[in-house]
Amino acid sequence: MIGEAALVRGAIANGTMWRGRRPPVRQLAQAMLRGDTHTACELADQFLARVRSRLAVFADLVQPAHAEVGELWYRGQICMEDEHRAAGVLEGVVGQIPPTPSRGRVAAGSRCLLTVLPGERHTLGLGMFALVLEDEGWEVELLDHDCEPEDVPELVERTRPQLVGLSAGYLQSVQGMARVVGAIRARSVPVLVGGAAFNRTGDLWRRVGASAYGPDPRVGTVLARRLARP
Amino acid sequence: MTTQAEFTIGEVAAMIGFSPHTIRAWERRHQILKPHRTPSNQRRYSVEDIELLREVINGVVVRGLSLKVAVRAAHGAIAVPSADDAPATAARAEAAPVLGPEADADVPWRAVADFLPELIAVLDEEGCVVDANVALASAAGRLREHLRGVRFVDFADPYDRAKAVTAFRQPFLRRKGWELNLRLPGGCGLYTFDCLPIRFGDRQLLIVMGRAVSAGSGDD
Repeated sequence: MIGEAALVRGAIANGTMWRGRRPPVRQLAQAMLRGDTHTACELADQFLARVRSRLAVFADLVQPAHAEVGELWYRGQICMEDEHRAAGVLEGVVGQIPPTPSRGRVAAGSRCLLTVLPGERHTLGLGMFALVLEDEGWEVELLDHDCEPEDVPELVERTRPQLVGLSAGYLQSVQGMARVVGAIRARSVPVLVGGAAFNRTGDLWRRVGASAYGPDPRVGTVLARRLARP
Repeated sequence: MTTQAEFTIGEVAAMIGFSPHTIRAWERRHQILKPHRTPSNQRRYSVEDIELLREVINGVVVRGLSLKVAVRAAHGAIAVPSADDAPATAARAEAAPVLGPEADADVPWRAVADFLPELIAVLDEEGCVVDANVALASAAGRLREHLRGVRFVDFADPYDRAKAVTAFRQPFLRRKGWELNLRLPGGCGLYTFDCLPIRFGDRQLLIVMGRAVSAGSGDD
């Protein structure tokens, strides 16, 4: 037990776990579909008061609710406008949740670069991941979605982050992503991928040659620590 | 999740949001998984173990299952239908009107469509099949009547579902050579589709016609 704890010292952020009643995922998804930002924020605030962790709110409430809405869209049960309205509500919710710095923080000076490929508009998940990494003590550089793919490896070369995070909601070209990942990894920097495209297709992260895949912010933060280990 | 596929119980706890104590209790009470042990008897979890745990938690948190049922569902011992899915599909199938009142071989377009090897479907505004030809029914492994109300996106490879959705995004557009990976029992692979919007009475429908570019076996 002591050995196990020592191995992962700092990896378990206390207070990131919820107890008791289940997170109100369905209620949040319904509020999002109604465009009811007020109720959505209230639900998030109430859950935050229970768990006292922004990471837990994102991983256990916001992301499952977002996935639920996305699933309804894929099933054709809601239209594009509903999905956009829901995403707008969620942006408001994510923006108003205050930082909750983790007790087990990463080493000072740990830096990571987070980005999407050009044309990718699904950046909410990556934004959430950036916030939870900041809570863990990372210095996060979040690139614009208009950044050209060939610029990313060059930027990595210049700034030498410990980790690069790439997110994709829908991959137009697996080869395009694989080229970028390959160019970054060729510079000995690990690449963590995530996003709906990877969540939908289990082995896609291997096909693009990524070092690891984080299906949600909670898994992502643990993997980020592991990948950044010297 | 990572190619270094061995995780400590602390890492797993941090990943799933439950304490190491809870994970050990689940192992003991529900035989949820059996982690590999190191020579010093510490637990080590694989990527598959973590995915199984995440599936169980998703069943409990999102789908509202009891832990016992979620564990059995994650192990594939029981199938838990989605509460949202079945009624919607059934209702659609009942509500989906056919092109003609006869809905059988007398419908003139079928006389032509059924002779063609291409997959042809008529979709409604929500992307559900209103009518289809024999080639599509055969590739989907269903009777034509059972295709009505089925969502077109359900024929698409999971990776291409988002692309399939764009086919019936409003307003319907005429398209040529639009590629989509399908996953059908009778033929998986890449198909190239032509889409043609039509008006039928006061309804806007979309005819999609797909030709196999690289069809593979339906078993994979």
